[in-house]
Amino acid sequence: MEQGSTWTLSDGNKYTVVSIVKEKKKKYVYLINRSEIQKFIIAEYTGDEIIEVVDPDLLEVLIVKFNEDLKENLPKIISEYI
Amino acid sequence: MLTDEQKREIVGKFINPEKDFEKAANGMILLTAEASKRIADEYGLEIKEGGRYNPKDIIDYILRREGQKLAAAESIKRAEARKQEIKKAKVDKILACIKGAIEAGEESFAIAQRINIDCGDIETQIIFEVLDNWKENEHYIQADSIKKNYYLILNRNAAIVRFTNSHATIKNKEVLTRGLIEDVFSYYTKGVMSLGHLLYALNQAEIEPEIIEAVKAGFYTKYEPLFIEKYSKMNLTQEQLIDDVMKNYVLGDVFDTRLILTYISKMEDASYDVEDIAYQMYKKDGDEKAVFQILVKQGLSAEEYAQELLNLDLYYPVDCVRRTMNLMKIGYKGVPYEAVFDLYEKGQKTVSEEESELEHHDESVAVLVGDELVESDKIPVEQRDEADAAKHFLRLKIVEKKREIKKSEKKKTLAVLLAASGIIPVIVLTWQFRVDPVIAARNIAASLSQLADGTIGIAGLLPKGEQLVGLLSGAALAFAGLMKKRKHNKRIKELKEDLAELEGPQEPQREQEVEEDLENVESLAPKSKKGRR
Repeated sequence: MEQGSTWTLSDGNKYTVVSIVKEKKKKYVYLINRSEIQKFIIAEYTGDEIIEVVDPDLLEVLIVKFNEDLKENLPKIISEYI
Repeated sequence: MLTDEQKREIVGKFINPEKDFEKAANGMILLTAEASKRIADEYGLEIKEGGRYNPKDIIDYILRREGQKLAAAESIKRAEARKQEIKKAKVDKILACIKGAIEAGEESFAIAQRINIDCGDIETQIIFEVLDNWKENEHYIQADSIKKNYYLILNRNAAIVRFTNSHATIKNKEVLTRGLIEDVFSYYTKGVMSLGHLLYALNQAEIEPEIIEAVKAGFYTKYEPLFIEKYSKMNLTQEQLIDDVMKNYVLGDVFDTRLILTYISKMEDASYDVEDIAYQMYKKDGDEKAVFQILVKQGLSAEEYAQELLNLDLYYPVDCVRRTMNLMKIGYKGVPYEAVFDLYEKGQKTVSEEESELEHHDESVAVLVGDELVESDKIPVEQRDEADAAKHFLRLKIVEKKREIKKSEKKKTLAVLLAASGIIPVIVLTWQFRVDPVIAARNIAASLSQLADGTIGIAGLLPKGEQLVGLLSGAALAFAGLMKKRKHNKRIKELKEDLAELEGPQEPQREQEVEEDLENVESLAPKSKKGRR
């Protein structure tokens, strides 16, 4: 499972994968910078790269999906890390 | 359920009414002893010597058993059809994944990675079946390479475990290094994994960096004679040599052009033009490292390097030249990068205005500046740096994926996940207030990070994840309360403004409506609770 794993991106920063959801046959990922947790990226995830989502309408849809995903899976993930 | 026709057919197979019935002494009609024995044998029943069955009982038995067999066969058939249906869906998913990746111009390793990620829920056997059958169509050239890379990816984790287990107990560094070199060499030459993956595995197994370096050097030492011997014997033309090297993927992520060129130059009868080989390899592989090799010549001055780079602009994309310069900066000491870069930039400025404009037009992309998407070539020069930064931020490669094992890192992951659980609900709430989502998301994430920071210390004290989630849900609710209050305050302000705008007694009804609205809103507003944050 990729949720909770750490990705190093080509900007040199490490990010935690908070959630991955699907929307219209594409995968989207919600990443939080491990060093500065106020920095986050919501992006399309193509397998080997990520492309930041800047369309507000899509962001609105995605955020709700991420929220649902977190509600469902977070207790399990957190238990794994305690 | 058997039909009458099926029943007749089944009974007819076992009983011949003309021969198999006889009348018993008591007047009852029974099967003959021979027919009874035959049926008993067929169904594995026990029957006394000379015993005879009552026809009704045995026919009921036969029909029940045959009915069961038929139902079982139908059930198996249905299950098999369902299995095939599921398999077809899986095959279609794999095919779509591969086709999509090929259409996106991805190379075999990226395709294999995509299969590994997107089709992780599908059995490996089916994936290999698809790749085997893939040869049947026009993409056959890539199939073997995809298969090999997929195999490498699958083996990587297994190799980490094997390496860790087999070498973890060896304390003597020299013995450990020697053993690892042998293992790495054996894995590589057997084609189990690429050198890059093996070194990655060692890194994951937390083998000390200096040992990994020694393993790499040892591997090169062992591999060099094999390479030279193989290619010396083959007597290839320059083009054939390049083709073969590329085909065998010797030029891998770690096995770089520099090494290949070194080996080639050591071949006894080498009449190869090493510089030309580097160019040809770049053309085939698109590897800027090959371009870099052309530039790494002892004794070149900064001016000469810069001139070489400018010359390269004629043949290669500017991106490639820039990446080459980056390599000079980070990978190789002794190259006067800064001086080369300055001279290169100066040389670039001598390009005619017309060419320059054309180039900018070609490179124009939409980038995020602040919160707006802007065509990059329409951005004022002074803002280009910001735009460039935004352009890079929009698209990032995933360099590495891993699951944290160290306790401290796991704790950090936990903190990040907790922050996320607080941020998201508030973003959702914010959007209900029609705040610009991008700005809201960023601002709220920033302020909530403090909340998440605060929970890091608590995390270790709480025994169960559910309690933490409860705590954060509480925090999110508190924020929700604040946001709700803000909404009411905003509405009250609007209504008061409406009220102020109303003039004279000509609209008493409207005025009354506004006042009523105001009262309603105030009565519904959440009351602040003292002592609660």
